[in-house]
Amino acid sequence: MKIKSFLSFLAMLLISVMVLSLAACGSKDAETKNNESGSQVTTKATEKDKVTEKSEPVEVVYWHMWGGDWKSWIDGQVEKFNASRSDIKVKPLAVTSDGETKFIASVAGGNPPDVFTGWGNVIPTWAESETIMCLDELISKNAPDLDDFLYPIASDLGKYKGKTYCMPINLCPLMLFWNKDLFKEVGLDPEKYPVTIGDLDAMQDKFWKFGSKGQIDRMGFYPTYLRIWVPAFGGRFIDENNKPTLDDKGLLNALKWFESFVTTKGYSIEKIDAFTTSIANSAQATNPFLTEKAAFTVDGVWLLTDIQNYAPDMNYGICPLPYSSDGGFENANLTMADFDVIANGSKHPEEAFEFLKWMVGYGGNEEAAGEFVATGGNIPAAQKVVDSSSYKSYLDEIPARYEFMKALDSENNLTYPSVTYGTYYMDRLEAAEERVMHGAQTAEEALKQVADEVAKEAAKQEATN
Amino acid sequence: MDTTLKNIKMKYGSKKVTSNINIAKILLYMVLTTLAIIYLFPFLWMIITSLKTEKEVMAWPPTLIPHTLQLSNYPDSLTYIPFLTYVKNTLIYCFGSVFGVIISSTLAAYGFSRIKWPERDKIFILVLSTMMLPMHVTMIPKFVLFSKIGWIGTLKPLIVPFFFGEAFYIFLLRQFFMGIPYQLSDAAKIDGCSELRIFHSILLPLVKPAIATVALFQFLTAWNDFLYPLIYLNEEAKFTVSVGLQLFLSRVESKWGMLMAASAVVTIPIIVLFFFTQKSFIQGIAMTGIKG
Repeated sequence: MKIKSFLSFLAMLLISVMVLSLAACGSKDAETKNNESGSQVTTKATEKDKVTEKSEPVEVVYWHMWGGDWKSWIDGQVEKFNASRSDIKVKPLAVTSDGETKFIASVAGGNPPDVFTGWGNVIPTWAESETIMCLDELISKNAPDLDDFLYPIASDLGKYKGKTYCMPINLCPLMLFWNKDLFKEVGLDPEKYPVTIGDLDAMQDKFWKFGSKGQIDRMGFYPTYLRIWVPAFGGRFIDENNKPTLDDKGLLNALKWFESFVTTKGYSIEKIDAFTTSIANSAQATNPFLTEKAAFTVDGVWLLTDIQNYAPDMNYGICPLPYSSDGGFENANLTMADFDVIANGSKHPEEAFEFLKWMVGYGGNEEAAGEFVATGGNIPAAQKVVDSSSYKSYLDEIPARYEFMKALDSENNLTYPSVTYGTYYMDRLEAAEERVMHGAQTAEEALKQVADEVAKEAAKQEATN
Repeated sequence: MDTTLKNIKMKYGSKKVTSNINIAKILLYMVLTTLAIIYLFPFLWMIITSLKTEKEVMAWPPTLIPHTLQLSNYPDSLTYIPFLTYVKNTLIYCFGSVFGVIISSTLAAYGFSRIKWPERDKIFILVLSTMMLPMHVTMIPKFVLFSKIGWIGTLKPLIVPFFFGEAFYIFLLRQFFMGIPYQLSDAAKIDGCSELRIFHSILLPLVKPAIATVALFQFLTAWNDFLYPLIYLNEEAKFTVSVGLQLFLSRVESKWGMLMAASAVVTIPIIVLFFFTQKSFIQGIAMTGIKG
């Protein structure tokens, strides 16, 4: 009986906690709701003034995968677009987890959104399965000089089998960061950054510090993500005929350089594993570069904001990835992007394309796009947007951001291989890197295995296509 | 003489037994407490994280007791997303589906167990086999079906299917029905009851524990369901709690403190439900155990 009454009491307590918290938020919830519906009413009123002869604005359904604070950013930007157009009204929806599942299900089920913002290497598979619309027609009609407007790598990113399937709205190049304070500590000139791989090897060697038990206290540089370094070694993933190039000299040299860290340079992979597993999440304050446990790191423009938040006193520099003097290319960056696609089965492709043009900044939209990209802390896909005053003020906030602009226009930039098994290919390369770093295989053997695996997968995909 | 010896034996004998029992009990409790802590730890960690600041959430090594308590995570998280709306939608889904499942599954289970009809058992196997279809296989055809009816974007595709039975619950209830003596229905039949009358006046009250179990399972399933609300709901105003919570996550900077606070609040109804249904839940398991 005692236990029963105790449990009932506990239950009542929990219920009251929940009810109280809901009641507390309920009033606030109603407030925010009223504000939202209020702003909608005012925009509708101004729209009505403009739209006397025209019909109802066309509704463009837009899904994206941004959550948290970024969701409010997107909502604000969409409101700006809706205010600027009387004939189109974009309705945004945030689907942060499994957004791609929802997108594919809705297209397959015949009830898709009009526009979807995605990332990663999904374009080849989606284009092949006709999940997304080919944009060539819309481009030739509404934006014939789009290729000139975008950076070369941005144009490449959107293409599959020669046709354009997506509109990149921002770019994510990666660059090398170095810690000037640590440079001074070991006697290196803090302004002289590594230009070639040879420079990097020589410099980073000076930083390694080991603790009393032999564990790594600080490292200079340790390469990860083979794919990032392939362009700097002059390598490529596929050739002009879209066939995988696993025998490419640059690709092999990149992997051999990775291998050298655990063979000729003599770093212990067990110690490195212990060091990396102790760093739980590299996107936040525990990034070893931010805590000065690493002298170098390769990262994107978002790291600048992290440095401002978590290590504001650090003196650092940014430079393009060091390239290999043995057939490598200067300023060669693996670039990824966020992109917009139009779903196959969209009811308003023309209006959807107008929204795409606005997001990327084409056709006089540079200022709006500049603000759009700046608020999100990203990098634009076109030079004109970089030059816009709204984006320039973002760059001036943290002048180090200008360094990232240098990486954009390079002809040596590379992106993910545009084949349907692209994700599988990159995944296998990562597995090969793991095996080589742990001494299970040599670089040549590992690449041979990837070649076999990828060839099998490619054949499988060809058969189903 | 004999009795005295017996008394002594008994006296000393029982003491040994008691001390044995005490040691065994202590050991048992130690093992159970350790296991309980291990199992409870993720939940405790959720509560601890919900009281931390964002910086401390990412601190390494992780702190067990927050250095600075940030209780504001709780009211903040409940206003960051339209929490009340999500709870309302989720409750509609939960209660609607529970109601549907009880009505349909009890009727079906009764038909499969208490009435003899040709090929009854073969058709029951067919019903059971639907449990073998993976969710992702039936997802698209169901989506197409609901799209053609025009129900996408509403809560109907989530609730209505449960009014048409659910294999697992039919199976569970059939077992319970089979455990009730047939003499009861026979006696009722002699008195002139129809099948439906037997069903709702006599048998339904007898399987209350099973119905409570079914209701609990379905409530939990509906409360935690993520995939179906994700693909069927197209408006934030219609989101359920599971889909709504993901709005705290972001590609670059997720709001862990607030997410944990909201998740903790979301778990409360489930805990409360367990307190109230615990007895019938265990009773139900016991009955299944005995009856086979």
